[in-house]
Amino acid sequence: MNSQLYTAISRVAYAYVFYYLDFNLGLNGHSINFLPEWACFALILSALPGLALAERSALLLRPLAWILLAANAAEWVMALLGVSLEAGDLYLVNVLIDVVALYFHFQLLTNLASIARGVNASRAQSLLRIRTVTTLVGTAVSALSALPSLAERAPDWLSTAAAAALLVYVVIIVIWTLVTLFGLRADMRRGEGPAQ
Amino acid sequence: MGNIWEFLYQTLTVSIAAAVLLLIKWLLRDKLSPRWQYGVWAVLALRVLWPASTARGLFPPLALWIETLKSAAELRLNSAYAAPFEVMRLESVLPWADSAPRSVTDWLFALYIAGAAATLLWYAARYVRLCSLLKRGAAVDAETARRIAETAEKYGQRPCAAVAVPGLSSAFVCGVFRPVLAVPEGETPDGKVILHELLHLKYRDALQNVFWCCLRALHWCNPLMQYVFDRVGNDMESLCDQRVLERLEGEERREYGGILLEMANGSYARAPGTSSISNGAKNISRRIEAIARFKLYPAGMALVAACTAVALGAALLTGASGDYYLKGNDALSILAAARLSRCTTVAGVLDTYHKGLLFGNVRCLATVAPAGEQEELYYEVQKWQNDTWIDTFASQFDTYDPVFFNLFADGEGGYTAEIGFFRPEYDSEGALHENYLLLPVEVWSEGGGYVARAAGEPRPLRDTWRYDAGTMPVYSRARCEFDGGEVEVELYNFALVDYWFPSAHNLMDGSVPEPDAQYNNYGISAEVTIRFDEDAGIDTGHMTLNARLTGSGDGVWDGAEDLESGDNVPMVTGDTATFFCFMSLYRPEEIPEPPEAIELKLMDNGETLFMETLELEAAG
Repeated sequence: MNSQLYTAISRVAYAYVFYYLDFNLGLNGHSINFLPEWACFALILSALPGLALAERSALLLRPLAWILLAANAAEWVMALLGVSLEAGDLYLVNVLIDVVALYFHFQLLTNLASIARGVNASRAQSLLRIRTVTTLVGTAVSALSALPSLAERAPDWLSTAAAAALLVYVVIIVIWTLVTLFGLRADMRRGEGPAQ
Repeated sequence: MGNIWEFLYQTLTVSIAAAVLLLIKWLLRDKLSPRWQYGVWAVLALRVLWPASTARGLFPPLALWIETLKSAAELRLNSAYAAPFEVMRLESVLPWADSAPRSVTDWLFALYIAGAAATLLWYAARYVRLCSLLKRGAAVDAETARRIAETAEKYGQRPCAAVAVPGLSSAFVCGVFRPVLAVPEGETPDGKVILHELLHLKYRDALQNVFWCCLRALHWCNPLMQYVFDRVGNDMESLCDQRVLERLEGEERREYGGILLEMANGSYARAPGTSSISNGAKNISRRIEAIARFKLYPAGMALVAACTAVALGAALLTGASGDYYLKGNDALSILAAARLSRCTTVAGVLDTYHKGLLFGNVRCLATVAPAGEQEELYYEVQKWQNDTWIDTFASQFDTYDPVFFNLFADGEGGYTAEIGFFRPEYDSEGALHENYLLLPVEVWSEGGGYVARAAGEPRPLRDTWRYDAGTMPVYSRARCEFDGGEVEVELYNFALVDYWFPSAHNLMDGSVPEPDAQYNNYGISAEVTIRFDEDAGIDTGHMTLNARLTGSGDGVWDGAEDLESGDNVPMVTGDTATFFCFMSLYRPEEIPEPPEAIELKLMDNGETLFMETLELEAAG
């Protein structure tokens, strides 16, 4: 087993725990997330050199990881301090972050699928499907949220159904992603990883 | 676009979109191929062709800044194209002036139009000059013709006519409908150069070039946009390089890069309807960098390339809502903010107007003031030398408890009502008198929302809500006689704004407009008084009344619940019985037009005494 690659995969798996799960506690009147998203990108940043041993293009994600780390860290600190800014004033920043995140996760999961192909072909297929589904749904949500008048004109039952469907989707994706990533990690620990 | 301010807003909005695209493209320059790098400029093209909206912007404060600047500048001018207190409304990206310029800002706009037209004419002149140059060219020699034919056949491209032109430094394609490949006289271009030009032909790059030149002319005076359009052109060439490299193999690719390097110092043909392999030293160095990345882009990125373009397009074409109604610190910026963010509900405009008058609040008054009355408000504010407060007839009252009487749709998209200003009074015996001052108002739709103004002088009402005092503001009446007496109907209604609606956090704050306030309740009352003849022999203790409104009102009245007369027991005084009938609409979505008639059915011990439909007439 390639130990550096195994460590990198482990870090990515735990990174997605931070990415998908929130654990909020109130402190001094502010809500603090003890599973902050910035930790996800810090872990991935540390994992990229290891991933690059098998997928050289993974290093291209480094500047994007720094950007996402900085953006999420700033948001977390502002939440900690109870600082909020007008949504309209941050619109362009949010657009940039959303697009960068869309690309980042797509390429990362593509790289992971490529690595997984040498370990467990079905895991590679899962990762590609997760990648495709999350990218398409993420794009649809971004595009629709840019059209608030559409949401206002939608009948109540449709809005409720969409919210429920989104909730179910999120639960499925979170479980599917974490099971696949930790499964890949387990496969590598069993010595099924790519040779060093 | 009708004035320089609208152009300024449009070009700055486009510039913001372009800056975002440049940043995203820089971040993804080594990750997404030249196909995406050029294709994503389609978002910019759409943005250039889409009029910027003041309701939603890429940087919302921008609309407020420009509106405020416009007011400050135009107050001192007598412009033909712009008024100080009219909100910008871009209906087209094409400039148009329908009268002669008068002021400095008018002349600036005229200069812009002239510049755009001159830019297009200049492009057209260059194109014509190039075409005439090509007409003077000679047919290419046999070797060149053979190479063109061989290259086209080898790479499956359609060949085109070619001419040899003296003085050219590099080959280029000219023409949209009958393209011609121009080659330097006495030289036989390399097959890869010919392939590059044939690929320009295949993908109609000359036509795209014409398109980009037209967009460039619209922003001829914006230096950022001129730089951006240069980048668009270079990305088009990079995409063509990509297409060439995909068809070459091994050493040929390196040779292609070498050819580009040799052209770095050459001049090149630049005009709409042309495309040239050589496009300047700096651009060629960027293209060389892109060529070096040819095999290094991550594989399998096609889906995310499309998705990022869609996400960018959706975001950059729509923008964020301004929520201007709390912005601005001085009179001009407060008025500008008000123009940009009107009340979105009738309840909102009535409540905000009430607040504006009650608290003398300039922000509230500006939010509801029609565009044509903003200037008057501005000068009133100047009189009081206080940007946020003016004196009104109600600004000495101290009780916030608004009721809106006789609120009806006028059938033409507007509404009429009487705003009740509460003025409680205790008499010498400590009894409370619920007095109101009523101001008639009219409401109509303007600027994407609702505006309001007074429709008459305020009148006092004493002891309102004491139905026996006869002081409720009657809206319409009806009267008729029947066998045994006469009946009189008085109709009025009132509406209350919801203080507990989830978004109504500002309703109790007199300094803050609540543009999307909702009604809690809309109630209509009919006071039906029946006077019986002395000898009618009616047992008033067993009378019941059913009342039903009919007529216009979008079906609200027809088939609506009958007016309930409380517990159906009238108030009896001698030979007079008065029924108080009440119907309530909870959180009404629409305000109906006034009912036209009332159906009455009076019964005594199960026997019908009177059944009639009375036409309602305005109380006057």
